[in-house]
Order: sequence, then C-alpha cells, then structure tokens
Amino acid sequence: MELAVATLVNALALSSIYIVVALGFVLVFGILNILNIAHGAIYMISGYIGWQLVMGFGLNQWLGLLLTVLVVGALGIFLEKFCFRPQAGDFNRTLIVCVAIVMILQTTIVVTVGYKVQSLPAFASGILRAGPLSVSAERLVTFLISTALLAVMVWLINRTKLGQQIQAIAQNREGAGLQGININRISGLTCAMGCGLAAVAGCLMGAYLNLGAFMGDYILVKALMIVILSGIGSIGGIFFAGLIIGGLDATLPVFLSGAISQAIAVGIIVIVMVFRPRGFFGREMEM
Amino acid sequence: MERRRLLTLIGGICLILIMVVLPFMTACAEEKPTGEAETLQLGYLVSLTGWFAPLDILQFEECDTLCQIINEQGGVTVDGQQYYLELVAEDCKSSLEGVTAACNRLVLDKGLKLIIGPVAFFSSAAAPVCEANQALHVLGYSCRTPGELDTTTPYGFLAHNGAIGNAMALCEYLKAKHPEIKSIVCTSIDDGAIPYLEPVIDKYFEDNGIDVVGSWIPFATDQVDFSPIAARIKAVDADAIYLERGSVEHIAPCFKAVRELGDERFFFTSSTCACEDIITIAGEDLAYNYAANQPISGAPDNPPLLEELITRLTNKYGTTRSMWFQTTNAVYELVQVIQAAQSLDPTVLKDYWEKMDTIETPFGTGRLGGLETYGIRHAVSHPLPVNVLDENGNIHFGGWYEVYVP
Repeated sequence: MELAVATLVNALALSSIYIVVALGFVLVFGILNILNIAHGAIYMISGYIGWQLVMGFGLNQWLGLLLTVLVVGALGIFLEKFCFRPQAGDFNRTLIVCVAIVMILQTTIVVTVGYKVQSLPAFASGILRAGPLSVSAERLVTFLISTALLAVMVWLINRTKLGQQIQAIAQNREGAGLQGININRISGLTCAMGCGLAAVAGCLMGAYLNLGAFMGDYILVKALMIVILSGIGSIGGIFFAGLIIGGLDATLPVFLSGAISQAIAVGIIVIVMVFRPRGFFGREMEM
Repeated sequence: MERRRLLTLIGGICLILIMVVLPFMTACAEEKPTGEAETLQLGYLVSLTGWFAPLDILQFEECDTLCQIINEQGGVTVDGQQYYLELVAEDCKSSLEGVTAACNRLVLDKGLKLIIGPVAFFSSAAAPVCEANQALHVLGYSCRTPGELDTTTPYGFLAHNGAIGNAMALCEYLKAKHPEIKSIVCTSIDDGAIPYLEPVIDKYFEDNGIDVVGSWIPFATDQVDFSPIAARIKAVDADAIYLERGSVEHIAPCFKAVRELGDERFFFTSSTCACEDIITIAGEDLAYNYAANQPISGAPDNPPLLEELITRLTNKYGTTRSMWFQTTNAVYELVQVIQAAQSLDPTVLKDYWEKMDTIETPFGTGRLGGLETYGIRHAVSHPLPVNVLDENGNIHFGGWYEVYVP
C-alpha cells in the first residue's frame, strides 16, 4: 500500500512536469512550425537563473520563480525574432540555430557554474505523514503548481482572444494573416509562453531533483516522446501522453532494472510510431 | 579605389601583426620551465561529455593539480634527464565506443605509451588497444568486469581500491562505529558490473556479520528521478541502506528521495559524495545519518600530499566539492614507478611494478595485491577515509580504514 501511494504521487508529480515542458514545446512547434530542440536547454538555463536569483541574490524562491519566468519569457521573444523568424520555412537552418543555442547555453553553464551539482531550495519543505504513508511536500507542491499552470494554459488557449488567435495561426498561418491577425506578434508571445513554461518546469525540477548542465537533454527526450505519442495539434493528447510517460518512468523502475525500464518506455513509442505514426490524437506532421 | 587600397593595406598590416604577435603572446603565456627539461606526456582518458562527465572532469582537475605539484617539485628525473608532466586528454564521451576511439587517438595517433584511466567499467574498452600496443595503462577504478583488470591485461595496473576495496572500507567503518547494523539493503548503478561485484561484496559483508537483504536494486546510469528506487529501498526490511556505486548525481538525489519517503535509516556509500553536496541537494532538514568515502581537510592523520591537494582544489575552485583522487592515485604511483625503475619503457615499468610489495599513494602506503580477486597481482590497496553526517546533520570525520584486496 505504502509503495503504491508513493509510486502514485511520484507518477503524478513527474507527469505534470513532463506535460508542462511538452506543452511549451508544442506551442512553439504548432505556431512557429519549428522543432525547437533548444527547449531542453532553455529549461536548463531557467533552473540556473532561478538558482542564481535565489542563492546568489538571496531572493525568496517564489519571487525567484516569477522573475525567472519573466526573464526567460523575454528570452523567448528574443529567440523568436532574431533566431527563428529569419529561418522560417527552412528546417535545416532552424535545426542548426537550435543546436547552436543548446551549445551556447550548456557551455555558458559549464564555464560559469561548472559541473558541481546544484539545487534550488525546496518550494515547500517537510514531509506529510499519514500512518505509514509519507509524501514529500515538495512533490505535492510541484504537482499542484504544474496542474494549476496547465489549467491556466488550457483556459487561455480555449477561452481567450489570444488563444483563438494562436489556434487560428496553428490551423492556417496564411489565412490567419488574411484575417488581420498579427502573425509576428502572436508568434513572439507564443514563444514567450513556451519558454515561460520551460522556465517554471526548470525551477520546479531544480528543487525537486537537482541542477546539471545537461539536464535539458533528458527532459527534451521526454517532451519529444510525449509529442510523438499524443500527435501534432492535440493539446488534450499532451495530457494523456504525459500521464503515460510519467507513469512509466515512475512505475517501471520499481519492478525492473533501470536500463530495462527505459528501454520499455522507448519500445512503446516505437510501436506506436509503427502502427499509428500520427500519434493517438494528432494530424499528419508537416515540416 | 583609393579607399579600397587603403583598406587592403590596413587589413594586411593587421594580419601580419596578428601572425607575429600571437605566437609571441602564446609563448609568453606558457609557464613552461626553461632549461633542458623535457615534457613527459601522459595520455588521459576522460569523459568530457555525457553522463559521466561531471565525475570525470572533477577527477581530471584533481589530476592536473597533482601534476602541478609534481612539476613544482622538479618533475620526474630519469637517467639524469628532467621531465615535467603534461596530461594529454581525449574525450571518451561517456561510452565504451568513445573510450576505444579516445584510446586509439592517444596510443596510435599520438604515440603515447603511458595512459592514465579511464575509471569504472570503461577500462575494458581501453585495455585491448593498450595491450595490443604494449602501452602501460593505469586505471583509476575497477568494477571487476571482464577485460578491465585480469590475466588479459598484463600492462594494466589498478592504482585505487576500486569498488571492492571501497566496499571493504565502509564495512570496516560500520563494524567500528555502527555495530548495531546487522543487515543492509543495497542499490547500485546498472552499468553491467553488478553480477561481478555482488557476489564478492555480499560475501565480505556477510563474513563480517552483516547480512545483505535480497538482491541489489539497480538504477539506470542516467537515472534522474530516484523516487521509484527509494520506494523499492523502503520496502526492504534492513537496518541500513548501502548505495554501492554511483556519482554525486546519483548518490545525492537517491539520498534525498529516500529521506523524502520518511526513511530515516543510516545511508552509506562506498563511492564519493561530499557531505556538503548531500546538504546542498537534500537540504539541511533531510541531511543526516550518512557516510561516504571522502577526504576532508584537516582530518587527523591526513597525509601531507592529500592535505595539499585538498587545499589547492578548494582554493582554486572556490568551493568544497566531492573529491575522488582515483586517477590522481594513478599518476602519483606511475611517477614513483618511473623514478624507481629509471625508465619510461612501458615493459620495464610493468615488470618493475609487479614486483613491488608496497607503493606510496596520496592516501598513505598502498599494498600490491589482487591475484585472488582479479587474477593478476596488479591492484593497489590503500587506506580510505570516511566522512560522516551524524544524526544531527553535523559533519565530522569518521576515521581511516585499512583495506587490502587479496
């Protein structure tokens, strides 16, 4: 029973983080049509920005989180205007730009902070106990923040004018432009939102786990797996796939060795790609 | 036209200046000693990228610091010729294929016959290249997997206790300081070495009155979230938790995950993870009841060289950090063998080294052994320090423990 509860809490916390990151990735891909492989590096640098604000400048971790989101959001606007927009329509050049961004961000951390393991202070300390059951307050807070953020994003995309504009561009870029939607402005805002989501995830994971210069590689793979499983253009699919991937990552190592559990998770992705290339809920992918 | 000629002239002058000034600046920047001393290049296999990089790069920095100390003391002298040490690093990319490629570059492309590292199970990928070319390779660590250090590696030497020796030291620590611990649950990195280590290490603990409950719980090399591992650990009824091998990126998060599940059992590891790293990752509230192989500055009976290394690293890198000194052992011992044998020939050095009974290490006097464990008497065992976080979260030195791997 104790093991089951612990595993369930782990699965929910992990899934929520994965979904936040994947949602940011999908936003950029859906609107800008860019496979932003720098998303993991942005997630990583966000964690370190939060760490520097909290540990270096002594800010409260919540204020640090907010400032990090603003800083990284501004970075997203910069990236969209100067890195992605000029390469619009050229997949190869976009890929090279993303690789360059990854290398710059990772090398910056390696040179300035080094390889020593770091961690953000917990957003909530303590352990909640109920008889033999124990749950870390940090994990619960991570899950709650991620869930709340996802709810806000769903509301924003489905219920606001901005969200409608985002959906219009995702469906038909030219048509949206002809309808008077400012494509560049919406693209910039979407990229900012995507990076902001990565920032939240980076700070939360920096406290939940730890910070490392290459931590973004791991989360990028998870985001790609979720996008593949869910399919392009499906926000609901992101939630479904995120729960699957997070659940597998939290559950399989309990019963199997680490390497086998990861192989099984990847194997599932491969099988889905073979029998349903567009994912569970998606449309055909256009590059 | 005139403007174009002027720009061309300026560009040409700048180019000439750069070509003349740059080498001059480079030569001035290098602090190479003058005189007749030559450079002794030691090939160094290090993972500069990938999951093993955080650990390996720390070790490279430690090794580099040792080389500076040795060079300041006059380097190495062989047959009247003075040599200053230089580490020539190649990236192993945290993979066996990367190790083989890096070793090929060092041995075949650069012609180096004295190779330092790699550490852990990666050694099995370097051995074929070194053995085929009769290059002496000094390992920083061994996981006892086939091909790392055995009868097929006559040119291989293990300069450090390795997984087995480290486990022995922690077992001795438990016997001395925690006699109440009679059973342990073990977890370790799933790098393929568990089948070769589990029987030996389990037997040593059990021969010393400590039961190992169940099989070892493996975790992936790139495991990030240790919550599932912690859940498995908590489900096992044992007095203490033993993380047999891992890097700081494994040990600290695993410790944190264990404590977050409310598991307050004593947690020890025969790898290296500084208590300060545990406090940084897990937080002060959760950092207690922990022990690891880790030297600390100012500890009683610290050899002078070890103290010097710790001080220099702390001063240079500005922070307390986990210190391994595995490849540092390798370089230090190799230098002694070179000095004693008065030769740079790998075969001469091999023959000399395997006849030695003792050799000095930064940790104290080491003894040659390993015939029973590895099949070849090429392993050095040396004393190990233990660093402790007590039940109140205070850091203190847990003592020195003598180790001999037969």
